[in-house]
Amino acid sequence: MRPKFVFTLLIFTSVILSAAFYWKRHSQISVWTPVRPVTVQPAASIAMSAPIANTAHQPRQKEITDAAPSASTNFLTPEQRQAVINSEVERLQQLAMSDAPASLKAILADLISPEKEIRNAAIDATENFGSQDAIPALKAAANASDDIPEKIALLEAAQFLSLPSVTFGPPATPTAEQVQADAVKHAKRHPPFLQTPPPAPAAPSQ
Amino acid sequence: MKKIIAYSLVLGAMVFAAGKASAFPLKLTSLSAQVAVTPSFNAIETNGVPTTNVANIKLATFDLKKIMLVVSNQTFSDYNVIVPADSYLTWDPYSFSSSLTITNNSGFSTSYNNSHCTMEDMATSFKGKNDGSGSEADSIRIYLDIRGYAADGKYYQVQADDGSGTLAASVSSDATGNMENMTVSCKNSAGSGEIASSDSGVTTSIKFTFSGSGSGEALPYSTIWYNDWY
Repeated sequence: MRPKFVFTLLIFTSVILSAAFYWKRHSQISVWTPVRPVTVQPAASIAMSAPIANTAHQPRQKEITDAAPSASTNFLTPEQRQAVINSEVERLQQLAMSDAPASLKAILADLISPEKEIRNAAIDATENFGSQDAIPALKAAANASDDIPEKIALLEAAQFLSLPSVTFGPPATPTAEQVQADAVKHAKRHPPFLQTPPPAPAAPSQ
Repeated sequence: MKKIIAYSLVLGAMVFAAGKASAFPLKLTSLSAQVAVTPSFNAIETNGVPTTNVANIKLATFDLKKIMLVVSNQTFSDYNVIVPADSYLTWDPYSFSSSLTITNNSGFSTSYNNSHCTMEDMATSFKGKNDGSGSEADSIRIYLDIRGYAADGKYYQVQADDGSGTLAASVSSDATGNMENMTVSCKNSAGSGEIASSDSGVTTSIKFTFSGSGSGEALPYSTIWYNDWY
């Protein structure tokens, strides 16, 4: 009789614990973070407007634009959200290699994405796009940002774009003498790339 | 019970570290560099004595598009191969020290021998789970050098000699347990630099990011790198 009672008690306890564990795990998965009401403002108007004054301590305005798919990530699972972010980051990388003004406009729209990862990718894309037309938008985004490292990154990108970009001269083929002279110069300045690590030095003699 | 926990942990660690050596190319997704040079010392000195009272630095920036122009032209010069317009540079961190590869999504691929990338030092942190998933976040010191002749017949170079940055990687808990994402970023560095076959120059600031995903490689990366490198 006693073992039966103990056995039943154990089964009952296991069922209770399993249910509690399942409920806890399930409730963690389904946690949903409510999002504050958003302010709708066209990204293009930010991009083309003058720097925003006195906004350093105001909360960042979350933008919803037709060019910001990241805004919809609030209602996705973490995996889905990351997939959307990755997709947008990849799109930014492709846009950065273009020279079309529309590509720059799309990149600048993501400078104010709610997703930090996308904003960082947009800063990189702006630099890689290489147009000084992006400088006002970068400064405006820096003024609107509360994140100090991000503010610095935005201003550094603006500074980078304000410098002269390298320009290549008319097509020409280096002469054999020039290549030879360059090779001598490079041998002095840049040792050839080592394909294997150099041999270890001999052990010091005692 | 203790044995079960211990076996689970060991199994989890094994799955986390499981993998085989295969290519894992990371795409160079961004690069920006500032280069300052002396175009010609012959124009300002003779036998170590200045021949002018004024000399100016030539300054220029490089972005990824400009780098690809140099890389494409050098590749054409070397192999008479036209690099497709949608090509990009990759680096395989599991090769530990290697030149970059030019590739695209249509099957083009060739090694770019005028480049080099090496993971120099790492301070690692990682966390693996029993289901095979895990993440890694390291501080790194990285070396990168890309150089070559542009279409104007002049030599150009950007270099991160002592790049300070991060490596972030993760393995998801999918069916295979080894779908991996990795991002290697250099936040800032300096090194040698060259504009239009200049006599001497400095890459005063450079930052870049390699990023990619795949499967078949092992995490944590740092332990594999250390084992191979030291």
